[in-house]
Amino acid sequence: MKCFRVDLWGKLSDYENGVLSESDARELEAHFLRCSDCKERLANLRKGQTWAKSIPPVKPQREIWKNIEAALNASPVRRSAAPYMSAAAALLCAFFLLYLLWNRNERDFAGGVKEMRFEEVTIAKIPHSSAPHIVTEGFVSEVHFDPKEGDTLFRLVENPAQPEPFVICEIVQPYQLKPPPVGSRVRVFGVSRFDSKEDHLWFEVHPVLKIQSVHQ
Amino acid sequence: MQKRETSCEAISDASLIDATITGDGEAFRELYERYRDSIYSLIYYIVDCDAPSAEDVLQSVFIKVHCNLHRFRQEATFKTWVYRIAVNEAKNFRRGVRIGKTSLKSIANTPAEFDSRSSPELTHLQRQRRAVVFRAIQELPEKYRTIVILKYVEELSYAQIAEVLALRIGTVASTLNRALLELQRKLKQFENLL
Repeated sequence: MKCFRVDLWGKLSDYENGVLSESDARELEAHFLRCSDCKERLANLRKGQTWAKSIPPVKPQREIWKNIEAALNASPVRRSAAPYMSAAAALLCAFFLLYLLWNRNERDFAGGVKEMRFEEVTIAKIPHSSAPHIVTEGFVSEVHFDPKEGDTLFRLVENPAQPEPFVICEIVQPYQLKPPPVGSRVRVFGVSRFDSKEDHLWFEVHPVLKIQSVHQ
Repeated sequence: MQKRETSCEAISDASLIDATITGDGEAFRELYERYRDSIYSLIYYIVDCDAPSAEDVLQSVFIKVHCNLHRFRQEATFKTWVYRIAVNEAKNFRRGVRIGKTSLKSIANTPAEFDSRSSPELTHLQRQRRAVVFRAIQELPEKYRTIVILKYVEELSYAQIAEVLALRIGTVASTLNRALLELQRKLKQFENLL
């Protein structure tokens, strides 16, 4: 028969974990003697717990510290301000945002990018480079906007007549740079990474930290 | 950067947070290494066991943690604060991405194909069990999945889970009950693997 003692259902896991008060535990046990529905509920809960305990912890398959470090070094808030500095930081951020709006192409994040050392590498050699920060040069063959993520991607190729070798460059928040036009030749500064998603499997400059036009 | 004389484990989170706020990048790295694996596990299961996505979310979690560290008040533990950020980031990620799912039934007869982490020491039975649990977890509603992972993988107490998810402890207990019953319902046909 279906049991409607909802008040007891919530106590089942405490009972199972041995943290229910003695009087409540006794009440529950007395109820079990006459209620097969709750007995079955407890049995199912125990099985559910056994399944849940068999869920294994997992570890990341690649080390991402270098990406985090690079992003933090490039960020305008590169070191957290002390609490008493928060008002000043907010003011600075406001000025910084204004600055970004007025200098969208030549943004260098208050010198953050200038301070970094970027390894010069051709698009074809990116897979062989272990440098976290790279600068590479090529022609923009495609530009896409991802409305879901709010990110802009563009494909950089060495030779505009050939689709490969290429590298995908991703402009992400908060580095909202203006994407270069298709066909232009640019130098792209950013963090080198490999996108191992099944349908991607390509090298990226992600995030893009700076874009320089190359006049041909 | 000077090398720390004491071992990492001996330094409290609070000291590492203070050091990070004053600009010690090495201190933040220690915090990252301390929590990386557990936070990753949580994210991994919330984003439907998609490792590359989980790594991306993990990255943004720690960037967010760093940028907001000065706002962290010691009222909550650092651990639950980071977990809360991770849960929110992973949920936001899921909202923006539609992830394909495989039904439990479809893998019932192909238990070995799922698990890229399978290792020689796992028995065939363990591998089968892990396969069906992975899929069942993915089929659970997000709120059930999150609470099960926080309890049984991260081993957080009800009070800690309540803090992470901003719920009352009673709600945590009742939601967890429903989640476990749902998990068992989904896995009933595989009881022989238990």
